[in-house]
Amino acid sequence: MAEASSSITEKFFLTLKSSDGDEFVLEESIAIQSITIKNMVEDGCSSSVIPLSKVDTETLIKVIEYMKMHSSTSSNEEEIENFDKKFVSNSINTILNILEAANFLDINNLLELCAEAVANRIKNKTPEAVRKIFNITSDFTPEEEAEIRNETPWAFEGNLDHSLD
Amino acid sequence: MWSNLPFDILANIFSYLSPDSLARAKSACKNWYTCAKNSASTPRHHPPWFVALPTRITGHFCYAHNPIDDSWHLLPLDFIPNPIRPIAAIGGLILLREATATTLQLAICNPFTRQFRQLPKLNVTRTNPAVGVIESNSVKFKLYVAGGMSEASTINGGGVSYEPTLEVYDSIYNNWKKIGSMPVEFAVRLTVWTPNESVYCNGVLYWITSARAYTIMGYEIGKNKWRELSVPMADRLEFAALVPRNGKLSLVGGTRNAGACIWELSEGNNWRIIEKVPQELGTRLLEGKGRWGSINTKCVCTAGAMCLYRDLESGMVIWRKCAKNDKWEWHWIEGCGSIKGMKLQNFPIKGLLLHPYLASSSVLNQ
Repeated sequence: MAEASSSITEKFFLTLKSSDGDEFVLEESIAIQSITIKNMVEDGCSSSVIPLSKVDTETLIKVIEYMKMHSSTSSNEEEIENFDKKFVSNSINTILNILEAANFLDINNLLELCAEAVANRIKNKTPEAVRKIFNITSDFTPEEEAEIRNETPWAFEGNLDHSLD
Repeated sequence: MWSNLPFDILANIFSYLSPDSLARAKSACKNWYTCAKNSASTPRHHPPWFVALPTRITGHFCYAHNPIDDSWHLLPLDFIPNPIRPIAAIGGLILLREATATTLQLAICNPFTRQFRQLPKLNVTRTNPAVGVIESNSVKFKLYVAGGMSEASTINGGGVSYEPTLEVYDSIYNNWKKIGSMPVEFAVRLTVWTPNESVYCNGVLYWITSARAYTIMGYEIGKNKWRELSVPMADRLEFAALVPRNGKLSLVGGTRNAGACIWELSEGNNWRIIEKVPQELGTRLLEGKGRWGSINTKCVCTAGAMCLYRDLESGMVIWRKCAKNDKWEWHWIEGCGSIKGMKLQNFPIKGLLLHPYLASSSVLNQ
C-alpha cells in the first residue's frame, strides 16, 4: 500500500536554465503549464537541463512564481486573483520581458494576463502619453501623423488621459 | 522594445483595446500602425456602438455613440458619392442601398475608417426586394436578396410581376449567384411588406413583416425551404422586431397596456416570455406618451445586443450581454442632443449596432 501511494505522489523535477546561466529546479507538473516545455518533456529531452536561451534570470523567476501560483493544487481562487493583480503591477519593461517569455514558453494564461495588463495601460491615453509610457519614438513625419489621425478623427475627441500612470 | 514587438503579441494586446483606444494607439509609431491595420485577430467582446443615420434628411453624416465613455461623435459620410439609405450592419460595416436608383444597388461603407465601395450589380435587376445578411465578421459575409419586382414589368406598366427568385453575394468571391426560385407568395410578401432587417439564426434567415398583424418568414438556407412562423400577440403588438440571442430566435414587442416583452422561440415553434423591458426604462422611452406606436418605437439588434430607440435626441434602451459574466443587462443611453457644446436639431433616425472595425478590409479595397 505504502509503495503504491508513494508511486502516485512521486514527483518529477526539471531543471530550467536561464540565459544568464542560472539553474532552477521545478516540479514537472508545474513546469508543463508551458507548452514549449511540455513538448520537450514528451519528446524525451527533459532528462538533462532545459536551456531557455531567450529568458533571463529575473524574468524566469517571475514566470516560475506565476506557474507555481497557478499550478492546480496549491492555491485558491482568491489568492490567484490577488497574485495576478499584484503581478501585472510590475514595471512596464518587466511586463514586456514576461510577455516575450510567455510567448516563447507558450503559457497562454500568462500571455493573456500580460496582454490585457498592457492594454489597460494604453486605453484612454493620448498617443503622446502612450509613447512616453512605452518609450516609443514616433517615426512618422508630422504630415503622416496628421493623415493617420484624420482617418479616425472621432478617436481624438473628448476627455483623453494625458497622465503617465 | 515596445516599438518592434512581434506582431502576434502586439495584435493580442490590441485585441483587448476598445475601438477608440486602438485608433489612438495605432498612431504611436509605424509598427503599431501596420499591426493595427493588418491584424487578423478578432477583437474580444466589446459592447457595440449605436450609430444613428438620418432617415429623412439626406445629409452625408451619422452620429455614433461610444459605449465605453458614453460619448457621441459626429462621423461625416462625405466620402460616399451618392445619396444612400442604410439597410443593416455587417460587423463594423454598414450595408447601404443607393437612394436615387429605383432598382436595388447595394454598397458598403466603413463609417469609422471612411471607406466606401459599391457592390457588383445583381444578376436580376429588382425593385424593393428583401435583403438578408449572414455575417461572420467585417470581412467575411454573405448577402441574400429575395423577391422584389422585376424591372421589365414596371417599365412596361403591364401589371406588377414579382421576382420569385433568390440570389446570394459572397464577400470572398465578390460576386452574385442565382440560387433558384422561391414560392411566389413569399416573394410578394417580402416585397410588399418592406421587411425590416433580417436575423440569421441556426441556418435560417428570418424577416418580420413591418405592420400588424405581424408574421415571420423564414428561409432555411441548407434545405432551400421557406416557412411561415406566427408572432405572439401578433394583432396587438404596437411594435415588433426580431432579435438573435444566444443562438436562438427571440422577438421583442410592446402592447398598449402590458409594456414590452421578449419572447424566445422554443421547441415546437412555441414562443415563451423570457424577459420584460424594465418598466422604468420603458416609461422613460415613452416619455408619458403611453403608447409604443405613438412614439414610433424602433428596434435594432446585433449578436449580443438589442436597442429600442425613437429619434436622435431621445434616450435609448439597450439590452446587452456583459463581457465579464455573459449575463444580459439593461442600460439607458442618453440621446444625442449636442456635440462639443453645439445643440443639434432632432430628427428621425435609423439606428444600427456596429462593432467598429479599424483594420483594412479586403471587401472595401477591391
